Amino acid sequence: MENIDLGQLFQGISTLCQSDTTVFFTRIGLIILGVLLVYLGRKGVLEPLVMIPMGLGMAAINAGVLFMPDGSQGNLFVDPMVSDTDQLMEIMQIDFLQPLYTLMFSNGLIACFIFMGIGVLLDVGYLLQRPVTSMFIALCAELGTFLTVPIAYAMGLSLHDSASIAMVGGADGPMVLFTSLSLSKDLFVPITVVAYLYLGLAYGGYPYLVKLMVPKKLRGIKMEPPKKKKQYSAATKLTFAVILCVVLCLLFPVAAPLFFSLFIGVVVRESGLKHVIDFISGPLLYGSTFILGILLGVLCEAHLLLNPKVLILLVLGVVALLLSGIGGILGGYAMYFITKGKYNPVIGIAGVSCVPTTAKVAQKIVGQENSSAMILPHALGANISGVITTAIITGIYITLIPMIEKMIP
Amino acid sequence: MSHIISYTFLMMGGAFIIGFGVAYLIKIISFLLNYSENISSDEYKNTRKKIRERMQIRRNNLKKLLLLTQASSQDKLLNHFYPSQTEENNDFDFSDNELMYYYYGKY
Repeated sequence: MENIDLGQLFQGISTLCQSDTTVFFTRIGLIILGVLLVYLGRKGVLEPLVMIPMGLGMAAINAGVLFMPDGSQGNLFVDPMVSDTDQLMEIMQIDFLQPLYTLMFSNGLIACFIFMGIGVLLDVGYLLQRPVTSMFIALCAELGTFLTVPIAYAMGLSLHDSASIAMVGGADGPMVLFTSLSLSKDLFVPITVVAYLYLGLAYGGYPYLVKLMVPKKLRGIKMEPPKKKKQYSAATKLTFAVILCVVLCLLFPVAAPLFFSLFIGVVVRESGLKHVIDFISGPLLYGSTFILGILLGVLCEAHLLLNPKVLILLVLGVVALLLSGIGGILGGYAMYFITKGKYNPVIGIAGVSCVPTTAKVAQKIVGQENSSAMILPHALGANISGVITTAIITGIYITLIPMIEKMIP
Repeated sequence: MSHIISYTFLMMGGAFIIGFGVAYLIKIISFLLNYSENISSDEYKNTRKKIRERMQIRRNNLKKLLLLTQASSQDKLLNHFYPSQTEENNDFDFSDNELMYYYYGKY
């Protein structure tokens, strides 16, 4: 019995005890945060679909650290820093989530799957009804996506990292993942984690911003129904999706996988392929979201998050989302003045493309002030435009940022 | 830093231009699709058919009027040169085919 090394037997505890103080407290803090995320997800305060698997993954990865054969500390979940092919093949046979990470996460496949699911849920009819207004609101709601770039650069981040964290302002998780994978290979884990963490909070935070910026009287403005209501057939919507997909792919080939994924969802929906619709909107979307949640959780390993830039990223994520929300509401005000008081400025918040969360937030706030006011069709139009504008900005950043970096003296 | 700010605003301007371009493209596409859908609809086809029928009736009436005008002047001539023939044809009915046969058959 005296030969049994308790340190080897309970490696989770012994690695914790042998860690330096910073790692020790970070691991403990992340375990508590993970449990808290599960609790808040269960309570409905945060988005449960992502937060529950992410929280448990975060707690488990920081608890389950062990000694590797070479004496270093590691885990049996995933190693995101492996780049050597032989080493990767070996790790894929040991770490159980490594195949999913390598073949689904790090190449953006999971983001594309989620985008297909979003596409199947989108009704582009709302966008076809009023494209210019919706697009204007959505562009205004990208204020944070643009203004965060110089702010982040001034705070010491590189231009690539600044553009990646600024994408949080677009409030579109898959876009942030895609941009950071292309521009910031070293920081894509914390950037994506920050993005999803804040997107989960958007549902709770934006109503306060709206109430702060829009007076009660204006929040209850009833939108007039259109004089001539246009009805678009499935064939029209399908043709529209095909043409727009081809045009956007022509304009931004780097973001073509995302455009394709979004519009294939729309095309499938409008083609009426019932079994495929059920598959994409059910098992594929929910399965991908669940796996994404798990992977994001297990990537929150203490050593990875101990990067000094993470604190800056946390601040910049809030700044980006806040500025985008402000921009969207200002766009709503611009429409209010253009239409001489006939446009509800609350719709502006729906330009932040967190489909369909922000549209639901806008309708909920308006409904509280005037139960007969129905703004959801307008809000959904702005919401869908938001997805398209975020994809356009993703294309602009991925294409132009490397060029601009070379041009800066 | 000033470079970054100016490039950011340039990118923002570019995004606005592309965004509005896409919005107007959507507007054009939806207009064209709506138009093509309308012209292939049954309602549109029925309306076109009704218009064609109405035009045909109008054309027939005009033709009839023209033939009747011709008939009255022809009758005078016939009466002058061939009084017996005109008498026997005074009782023809004014249906299109008979009128056509009567005149084109004779002259």
